[in-house]
Amino acid sequence: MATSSLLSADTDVSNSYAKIVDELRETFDEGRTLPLEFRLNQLKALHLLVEENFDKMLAAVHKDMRKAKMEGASYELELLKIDAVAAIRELKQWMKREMMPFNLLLPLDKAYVKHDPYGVVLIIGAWNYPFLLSLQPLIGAIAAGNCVVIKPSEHSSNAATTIAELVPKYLDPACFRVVLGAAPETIELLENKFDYIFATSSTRIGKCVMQAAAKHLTPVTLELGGKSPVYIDDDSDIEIASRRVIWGKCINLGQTCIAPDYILCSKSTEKRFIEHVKHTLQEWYGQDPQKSSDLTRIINNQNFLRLQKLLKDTKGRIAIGGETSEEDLFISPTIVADVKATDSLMTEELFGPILPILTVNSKEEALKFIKERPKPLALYVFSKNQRTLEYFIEKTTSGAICCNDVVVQNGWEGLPFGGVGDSGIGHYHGKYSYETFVHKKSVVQRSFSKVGEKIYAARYPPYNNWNMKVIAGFMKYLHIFEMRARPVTLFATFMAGAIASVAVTVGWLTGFKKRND
Amino acid sequence: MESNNIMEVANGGPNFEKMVEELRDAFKKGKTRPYEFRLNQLLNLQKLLEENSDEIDRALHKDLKRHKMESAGEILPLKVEIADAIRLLSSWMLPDKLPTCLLLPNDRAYLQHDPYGVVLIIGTWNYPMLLTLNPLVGAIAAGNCAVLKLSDGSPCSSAKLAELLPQYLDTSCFKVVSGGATESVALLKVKFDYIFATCSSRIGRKVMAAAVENLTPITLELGGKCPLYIHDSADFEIAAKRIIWGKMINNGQSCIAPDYIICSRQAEEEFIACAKKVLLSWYGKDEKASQDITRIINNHHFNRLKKLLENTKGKIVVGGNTDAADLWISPTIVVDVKSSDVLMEDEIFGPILPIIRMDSAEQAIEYLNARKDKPLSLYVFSKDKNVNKMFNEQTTSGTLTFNEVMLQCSWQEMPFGGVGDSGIGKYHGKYSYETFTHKKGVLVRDFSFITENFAAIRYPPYSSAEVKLQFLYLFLSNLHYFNIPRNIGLPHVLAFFCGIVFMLFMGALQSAC
Repeated sequence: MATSSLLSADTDVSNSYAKIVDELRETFDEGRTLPLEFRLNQLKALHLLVEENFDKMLAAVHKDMRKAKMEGASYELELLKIDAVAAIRELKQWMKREMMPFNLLLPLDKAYVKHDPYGVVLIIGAWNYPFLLSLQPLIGAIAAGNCVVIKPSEHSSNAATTIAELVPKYLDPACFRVVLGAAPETIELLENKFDYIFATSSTRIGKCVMQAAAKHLTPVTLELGGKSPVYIDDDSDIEIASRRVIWGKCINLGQTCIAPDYILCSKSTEKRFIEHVKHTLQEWYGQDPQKSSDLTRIINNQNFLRLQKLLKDTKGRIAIGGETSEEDLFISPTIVADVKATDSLMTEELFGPILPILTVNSKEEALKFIKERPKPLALYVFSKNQRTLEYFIEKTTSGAICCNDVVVQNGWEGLPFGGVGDSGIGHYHGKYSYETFVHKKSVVQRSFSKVGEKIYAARYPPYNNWNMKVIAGFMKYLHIFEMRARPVTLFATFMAGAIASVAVTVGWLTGFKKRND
Repeated sequence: MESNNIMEVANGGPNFEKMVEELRDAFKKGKTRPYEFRLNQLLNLQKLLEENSDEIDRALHKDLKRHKMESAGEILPLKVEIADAIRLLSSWMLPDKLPTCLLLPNDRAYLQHDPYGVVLIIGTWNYPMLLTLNPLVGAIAAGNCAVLKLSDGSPCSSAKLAELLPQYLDTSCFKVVSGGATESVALLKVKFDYIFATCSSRIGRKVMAAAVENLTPITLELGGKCPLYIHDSADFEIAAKRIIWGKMINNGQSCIAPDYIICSRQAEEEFIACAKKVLLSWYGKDEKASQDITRIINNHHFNRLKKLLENTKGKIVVGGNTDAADLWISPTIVVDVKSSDVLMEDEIFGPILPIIRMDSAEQAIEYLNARKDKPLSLYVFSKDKNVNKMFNEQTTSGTLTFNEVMLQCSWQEMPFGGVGDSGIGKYHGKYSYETFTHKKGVLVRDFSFITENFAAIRYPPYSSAEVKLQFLYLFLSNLHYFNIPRNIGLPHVLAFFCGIVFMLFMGALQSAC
């Protein structure tokens, strides 16, 4: 009995997912999401959702992981609002067709790139920034004109239920649906054919998502993690560097995908760095960091145990912190020095407040170390010397590189966010979010003009050498006849020139006449 | 002899690891990064095509019995593509700079273009030169090392390429692998940084599944049934010429060839009458004797097409003759085709053109959207602007072309690529360069007093969070007003000088008065 009811529940779930996707596809085919006004309205509604439920949302993440108000607000909700406002401001511009230059040899033809939405897209969120990572891609998906299924992470359950409760209230439920569930439900969901999948997850889950996508040839954007290295050169301002690094490490208690994961520096820098960090931590969190209300907690027991085990297994020297408390899911900001490349701390992304320091003696050694490992999501370099910075910018590849600061590249307007290699596929934020969710369709429009047809007839059989030469010459020199400016503006310029010359002549003549008089 | 030659190049399965390792070494040394190197390789590629054009034509003819002029249709776009890349490379390589913000004057942000590393390009047999070398142009321009997997479907052309490429390109950065499915499978087991494949949807799924292991980003150029809609308002004489031309190049073995026609009964009659006239005037009474028609690539495909013709429930109104010895199928038009017909199942990839009857454009659009696959190309022939608009707005396809076929793929600066079942990703021109480039966000700050004090607002303890949040929101949401635009280009400079000249002129005028 029990098994049969379980089974039926299972099929119910998969049926209901299939039904949701079908319903959304129907709405999409009706073209409801296409008009600019609809998209703007939904974006405004999303903005309103965040604004009106600001405190409620903050309370949810506080319940999930005791996230401080300042962190929840400025690194999740404010960023969402700003991204939504920017999308509302720019959307009309983004949606414009990209016209190809007018060609004098093809005067009757028109070519442009039109942006088509993909259709029904799936957004899989993550638990560390549950609102940001589910709703920021949503902004791009709405702006691009898609219907969306949102699947927030089950680990941040309060945030997930808040999203499930609020989204239908503010956004059009015929186009945007929230699905809750854990791994088995996600697998069920991925069985369905989506037109685009956007997932923020670990590398392991990212592979599962892409595997499922391959069945339907669905394009994917994967925002994954990885170990983001920090290199601190001897010539940097260690005091400022230490403050910035430790800030980036402590927000969300290290559970940030672009948090600095480990430090590469020389022995002498390490010593100064640790001194400064001690001082800073004291200043920020007091004698007992566990008592500070500004530090988030580890999300769940499983992650806590993983981190605790890493700390137990490390062969390095714990220079700062190292205290853990299981009932509070707390680990104090910890710095581990003298870490070897083979250490347990170097085997996986840490995703917690533990910061190992590895000794390197030169920037060349640091570069070699970084290049031997998978391409990171973010790379941080601290140095006062422009040449050192350029050295890393030129010679390494990473999702992003931020010099003399950490994490802030994430909120920078105009910079895309996304990984490369093991740290992800594709990028988003701002205009890049919009572009992620549109298919750029080439449109060529020709005419039936008889004159044109006479010229194009050179391509038809029966084939001969003369026609071949004509076509070869035509194609070779076609680009010379490209006009960057539109004919209308060219004509306007021409008229302006004409009027100007008339004005000059009249002016000169009247002046001439007067002088003669 | 020839197969021997191929085996030599292929080196067998197990050695691919080592070969890719070699390329990775070359890439890590930064050999492919400098502008001069990329330019040099592109120039060499250009030279390859120019110095060996006769040999290439001959190889293509051996494989496909293709006329020189149709081969030119393959080689010319490639030459244009290379010439464009050479001409524009330096401008493509410039980093995308973001505007400087007056409020954060010490910060600098831009997008640096990083090559991915070692990329795999899988070519195919219907246009063996174009579909292998065109992506290669992008890969070289972007600064990658590349492995080219040539198709065994077109053995002569592949052998020619395998012979020529190492003579012209730097062999430590670019390798060629010939062979069939086994070689492809072995290659796909190796870790690449990008995979670019032109193939069928079935193989595309396999490539994507193989890419999962290393989370390799992919571009898939697949095929599919490209529909063609003829509205009653079209100029049928011109339409028939263009459509038959598009269908008959390479004997229908093009991924963007019109696959089937949708039109009304009246349009069907007019089209068939015109098509018959066109075929007669181009190929004469005995089409098989014409030098201008390519042959089917091999027995396997010939039999597939023959079976389609045997099993169709439609009525063959033009052609329908086959000759297994010559791998010949005459240009064929089939009418009264139902959507459940065998001809409507898979991409036809041969000179058979079925016609489905639909009375209106609305019906045609409904039919297209009900089909599961989004086509690689959609063609619409119509003089009616409203019909054009309807198709443009209510359908999605890789490319959409009005009153023309095929040419959209070599249109300057236009992206080419499918959507849904017809592919992932785009290429051609600048899009090829961007396909093989990772755009890395770069933010450079400094340790200055101003920056640090400005930034200190984010640090704990989070006392007076309300005020800080208010300030942060105001600051960040208004930041864009303080951007100094990057594109103060020549027009603005000229406008400025025009202003000066204008005022001087007014002054002179006044003093003259």
